[in-house]
Amino acid sequence: MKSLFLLSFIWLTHTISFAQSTEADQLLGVWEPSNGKARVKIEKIGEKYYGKIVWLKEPIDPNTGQPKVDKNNPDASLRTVPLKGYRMLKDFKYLGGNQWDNGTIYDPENGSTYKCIIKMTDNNTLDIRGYIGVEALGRTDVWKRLNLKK
Amino acid sequence: MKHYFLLLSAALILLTSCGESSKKTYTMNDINLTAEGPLFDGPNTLQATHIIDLNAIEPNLKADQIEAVKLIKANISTPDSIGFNNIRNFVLQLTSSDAKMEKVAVLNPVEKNLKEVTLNPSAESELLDNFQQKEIILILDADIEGDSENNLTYQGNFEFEITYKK
Amino acid sequence: MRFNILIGLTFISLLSYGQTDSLQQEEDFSMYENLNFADEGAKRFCTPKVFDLSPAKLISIGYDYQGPFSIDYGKWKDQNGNLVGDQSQGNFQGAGGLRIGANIPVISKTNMVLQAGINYARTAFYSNSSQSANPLDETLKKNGLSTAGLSTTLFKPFNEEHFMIVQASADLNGDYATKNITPAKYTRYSTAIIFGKKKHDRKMIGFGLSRTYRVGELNYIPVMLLNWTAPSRKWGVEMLAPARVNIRKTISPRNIILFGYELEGNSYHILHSQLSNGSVNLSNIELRRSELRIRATWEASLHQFMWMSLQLGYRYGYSFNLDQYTDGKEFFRGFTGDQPYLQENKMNGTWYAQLSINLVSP
Repeated sequence: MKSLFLLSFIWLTHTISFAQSTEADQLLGVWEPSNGKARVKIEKIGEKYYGKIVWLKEPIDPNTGQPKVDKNNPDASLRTVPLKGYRMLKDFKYLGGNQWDNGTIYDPENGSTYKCIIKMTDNNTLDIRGYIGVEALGRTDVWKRLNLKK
Repeated sequence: MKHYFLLLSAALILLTSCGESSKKTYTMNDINLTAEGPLFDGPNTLQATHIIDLNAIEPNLKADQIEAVKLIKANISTPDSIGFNNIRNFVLQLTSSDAKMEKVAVLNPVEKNLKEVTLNPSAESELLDNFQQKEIILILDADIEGDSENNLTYQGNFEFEITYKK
Repeated sequence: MRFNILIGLTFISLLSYGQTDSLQQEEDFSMYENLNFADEGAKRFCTPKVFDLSPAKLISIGYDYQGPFSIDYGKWKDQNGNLVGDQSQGNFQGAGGLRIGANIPVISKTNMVLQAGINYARTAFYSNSSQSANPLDETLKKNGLSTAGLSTTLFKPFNEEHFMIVQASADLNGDYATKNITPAKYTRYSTAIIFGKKKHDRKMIGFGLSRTYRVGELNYIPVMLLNWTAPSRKWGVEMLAPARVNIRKTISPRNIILFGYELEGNSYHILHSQLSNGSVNLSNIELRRSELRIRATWEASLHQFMWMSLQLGYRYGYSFNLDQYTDGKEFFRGFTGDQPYLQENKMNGTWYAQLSINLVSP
């Protein structure tokens, strides 16, 4: 009887955490920011979520004729990192309730990194809020999920 | 009186040497960074995990004694006959479960006809938080020309400068 | 039987709880061209920014200071339109005070951005002379001028190219410092509406109409919005004419210089309109203050989102006249009205400097 109870408990907790893990993985996929200038693929490394740029509307820098690089990075030694493949969303952990937090978002336009929280408002929509210090001092961008064209 | 003076001097020396920092090099050799096929034209991710062995830096070294960690060398090599001819650039990152991902080195572009390359380490990235975890994940983004059905494995050799309190 | 089922289920759930790292499958990057929104009804919208625009200030704390200047005071007119009082001149060693403001996005969606703002600016007038020939001179020296306001700005994109901006503000302006704040019934309301087009990330242009007090008194003026960045990304224009025009030189994304002008103004209710010697006693007085500031501004990041702004320029006094209400209510003069001013004054020009520390928006 005791072992039956123990096994039920193990099974239940594993099922719950598996369900949470599946819920957290709803973030995975390809998303487009509101300005349509890039597409970002969100993937999982270890237990954290990262978003990398997989497509740019204007991939070539008109001043150099070369693929765009991270020329505004405050760390001068990292200014040759290409933007295609760039992990601009980093270190997000699932909090439950369709929210991923403790991450950062990087803006290659000005080399700034902001604290960031991601809220999934529906299965195909994300509110990505980059902020300074407190959530109130920030800006939300709405990202939409992308699928392969039929 | 003389004994007290000697004791005091010894205590002072001990106290001040306890506060001193030491620097040592920590190497990670022959790390196999792997990406599973099929691989496609563009950035592909090779990764490897590594368990930090603090004893290799100093016997019985504790994580909270570490003050600073910097990548000082990153070499990537391959035994493949084509070398890195199909690689446009490399970007190396480090992450772990309870520390932020740090971009630590880049090589853009990668020259042709090479089987071993040295990446340019970042001057400013700080890896202290990552090294205080038990396990770190090395992420090597390789921008590949052309598609391939096969897995890809490169060897990495890395050196870190560890500053720690004795 | 139940026991065996449980063992089996435990085993399965343990297996599936294993590796969930998604970096197992590499991706075909060429496929990212051919993607559609998962939500078929989803639309793309333009954003309110262009490349290299000087950063929007979330919180700003600053100090404004003007150098020595004089004010030429006119005689004033009594209720029959006769000139009374004496012409005189007020001399000031300088003027200045605190300027603080906050402008926070409260709603941020793809199809709408709504900002709410609050601001306060004070001008103390410094003079060695305690004698005053007229009530305005006396209250400037004793109380100075303050303005406190609330504002809201709505950016509404209709699609990827067209947008609308609506701005509205309510200001309480008068000769107060911390006491005797202007009564709420003298709140001045301003608003502007602009319809515009954003062809690409380096240009947005719009036209509209505003109800404004920037010229000192109420007026309705057409406005033009232009935010443009050169292909070189080194130069740009940031304009909301006729209120504000700037040419921008981008030294780096964290270091910019702007050259241009701004028309600042408001209508101030003067509560203290009696001379302390009791010889003059006016009531229902409104000061129409307007200044043209021609300046160079240097904005740079001190640390991440903390920026500093240093402005140096010349302050030209456009209007400093007094009006008196006959029935306590605002009246409209516009460009064509000929209602006489109570007192016509000229605030002479001087140099000025403004320094502020700002928390800028992502």
